Amino acid sequence: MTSIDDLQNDPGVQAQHLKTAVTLLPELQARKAILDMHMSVLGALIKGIQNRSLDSYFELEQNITKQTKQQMLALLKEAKGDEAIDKLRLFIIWFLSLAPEQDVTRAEWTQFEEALTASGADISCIPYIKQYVYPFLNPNPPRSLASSISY
Amino acid sequence: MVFLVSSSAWVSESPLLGSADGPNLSTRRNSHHTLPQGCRGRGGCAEARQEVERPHPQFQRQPVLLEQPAVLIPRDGNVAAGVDRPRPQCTSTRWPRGSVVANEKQVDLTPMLSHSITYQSLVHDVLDMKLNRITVETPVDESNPAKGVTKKAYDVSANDFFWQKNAGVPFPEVAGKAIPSSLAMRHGGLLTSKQRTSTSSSPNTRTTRRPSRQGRA
Repeated sequence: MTSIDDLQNDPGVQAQHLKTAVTLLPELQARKAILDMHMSVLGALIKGIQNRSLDSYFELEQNITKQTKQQMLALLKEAKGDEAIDKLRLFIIWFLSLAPEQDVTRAEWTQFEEALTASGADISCIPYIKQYVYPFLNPNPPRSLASSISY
Repeated sequence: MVFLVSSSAWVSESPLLGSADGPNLSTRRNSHHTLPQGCRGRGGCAEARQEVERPHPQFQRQPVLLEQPAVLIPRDGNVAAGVDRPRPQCTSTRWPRGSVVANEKQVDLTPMLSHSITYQSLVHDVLDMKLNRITVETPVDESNPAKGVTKKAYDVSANDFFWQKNAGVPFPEVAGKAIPSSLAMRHGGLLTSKQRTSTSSSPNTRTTRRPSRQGRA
């Protein structure tokens, strides 16, 4: 832009405006291309978010510790999003954040697993999560999962 | 040179954290206190002070503060070769400054699974993004999904101003604020430039424009 500054004292100040317009044009075109790209990406994103109702999952996970077992079970059974993986993720996050305090009994556990399977989720990762939360878990817990931790 | 360290106690005591030939004398003085008796007082005070100025002799023996010995990884990144290789003797002060990688054994699973609403994480979650290429699948016919989908790929380039600014911004903000403001900026810029061009269409200005443009190109 130094050359433009040189033009300042020139009687033909219009030349400066023309110069800036010409130099700006390629940059503006590049910006337009980038913005157009992001517009179409955002459009696809909005559709995807609506299909999977990701916003509600986000809100749920913000205060995941407030969910009780009954609420969680209802959420898993509810036919909301068509993506089972989101429910699985929600459940795992809930379990990870709440498991140390809550005592999930075996019956409740099977209920959760059934709800997840019914929604079409692949629950083969659940044993790992269990082991992750209760590393010293007796493989055959007597009554409940959490009460059988032996340190 | 990278040191993998498993004990945080060693990290805080390590003289490596100060640069080997920098003015970080305090670290070296402190590390002097951690020397075992054999290293410390061979020839009295004067020699001990001399020893401080030299690189730490701790590198030449097994570190006592470590549960596991530190692993030296050579620059070529071959970890396995580096483990068995004998440690380089530290005789000069031009010891390359190392970086410390502290490994945390605990892994937090929650952030990997949580639903985030930042622009970038949503692009990863909803769309397919790999190596800065976003693939968007749109159905050919909205009402009839059986007709198949068209795939469109977009590249996020390094000079993508919008991505740089908004990748970590929550999605509602991106869609509600960033896009309109960027559009307004664009239109504003175009408008002013158009106005400028329209006002400067006299022939004599055109002749002044030409040489400067060629000079730029």
